Amino acid sequence: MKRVLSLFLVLTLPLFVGCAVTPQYNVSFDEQVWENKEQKVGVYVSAIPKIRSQVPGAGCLLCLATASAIHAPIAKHIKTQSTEDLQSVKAELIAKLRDKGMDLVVIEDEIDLRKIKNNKVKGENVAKKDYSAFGTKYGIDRLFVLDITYVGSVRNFANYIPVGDPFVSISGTMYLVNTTTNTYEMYEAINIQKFAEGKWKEAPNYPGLTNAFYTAIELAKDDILDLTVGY
Amino acid sequence: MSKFPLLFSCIAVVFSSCGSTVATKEESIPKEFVDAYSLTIADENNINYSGYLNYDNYSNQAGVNGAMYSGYNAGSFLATVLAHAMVSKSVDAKKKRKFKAESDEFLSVYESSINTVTSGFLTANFIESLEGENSSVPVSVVPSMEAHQIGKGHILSQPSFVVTQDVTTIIISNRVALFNHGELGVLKAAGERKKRKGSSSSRTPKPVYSNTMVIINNLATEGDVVGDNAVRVGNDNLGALSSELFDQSLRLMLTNMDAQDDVDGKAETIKFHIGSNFRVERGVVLEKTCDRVVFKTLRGWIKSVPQESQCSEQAQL
Repeated sequence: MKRVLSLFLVLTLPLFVGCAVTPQYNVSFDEQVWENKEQKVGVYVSAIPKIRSQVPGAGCLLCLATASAIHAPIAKHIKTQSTEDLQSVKAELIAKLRDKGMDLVVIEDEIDLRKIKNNKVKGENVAKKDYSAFGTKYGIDRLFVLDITYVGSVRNFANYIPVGDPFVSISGTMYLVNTTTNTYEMYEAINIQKFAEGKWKEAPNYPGLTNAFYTAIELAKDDILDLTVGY
Repeated sequence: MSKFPLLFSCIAVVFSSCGSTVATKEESIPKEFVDAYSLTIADENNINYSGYLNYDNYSNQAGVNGAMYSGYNAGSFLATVLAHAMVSKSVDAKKKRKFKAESDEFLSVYESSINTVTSGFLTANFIESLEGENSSVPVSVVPSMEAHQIGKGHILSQPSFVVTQDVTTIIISNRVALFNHGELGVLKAAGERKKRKGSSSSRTPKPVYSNTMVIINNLATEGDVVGDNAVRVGNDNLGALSSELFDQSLRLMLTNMDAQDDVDGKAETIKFHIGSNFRVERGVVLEKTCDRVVFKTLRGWIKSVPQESQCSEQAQL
């Protein structure tokens, strides 16, 4: 019996460990950081992901197939739109930082942010990943990262049934890490959700949702620029 | 006066037939349309006013979240899924109705002014404005389709107005349809048919051009800031503002309807403010001035929106 209990504990413990991870809360940007003109700041902007679609809430295989089929025309249309305006945020950000007199190192290398080795030190606002290697490699004191992880359409479902209207979502994070202390000096989640204003059932071109898509892009750009260089 | 019900029926038929949200142009506009028009407004007495629906903080996540589906057999399963869908849709619709009703509430203060804005008021002011100046729009307009013998085309207009909650912005949305005078007989016949609610054998009148003109008039925006001393829509100026926008919307139609075929260019993102609310819309730019952009929207409508004014900078140059 003890063996069974031990086995049960061993098997279920990892499930509870997953819940114990503390989320990183937002860290407001201290504009004084930009006052230090002696420092070198690395800027890394990850590639904008392909436009995707999600149907959260479709909780079984048949539900998922039904929800995907219902959402397919919208998903297909949104995927034809351009993220060119969102890609331009990198150039705008760099230009505005340079206007502030910052000495920038723009990192053009492809970096898989998920594969950076974990930081052994834990604590409040301590980065989960170890960015100290970037300081050495690029000769930077701070690293600014903009990581957009999702661009696309979303429609919530309760099993087979759509719950509410479809919307456009852009999400990701941006943060400034001190490469010496490995602490966040800014951490902001980007989470834009935009519905069509008024009607949205306008197949095949969905003008309301198309406008929502480009509105979401502009709102994301404004968020990124306001929170970093909008001071 | 007995002509009004007939006229109403007639117009209702026309707008029900061109109720599509997409601009249409059935054939090229004849040259003879450049001179004179007759004009009728669809809503004879009550011009529609509503509150601006600000979707910034609105979540459409209505509906019923969870549901247990009965699985005794395929029939009962399907029935419970359908019941879930119906309840969810109903809750969603109820939430939207409530949102709309709440957005309109503040307009009760302006009821007396709204009642003075009639079709006669708008038409008379428009005609007066055309007669009172050397208009850039070389047209003359007479108020009714009864006067069609002197006009070369007939415009049916259905204006409606939206006022923002902070009463700093008024927006006109004017559905317009242009008919060849040859269609006037059909228009009248359609009206009579509608009145009789009987036969539906004859054809419905076909507009040469139909579209929606939207003009956003920010009274108070200076940059992005709407200050306490800003000019606002009120009982004293609602009529004049409405009349001015109606005038502009018809001019917008008359100056842009010929260009419809030439505007399939690349859509771009146009940013503007409605009051203090930031808005984005995709469209093909038709005209840019120092404080306005006119563009063709994705729905094909013609829209004129305010831009941060650069008029003084241009004047200095």
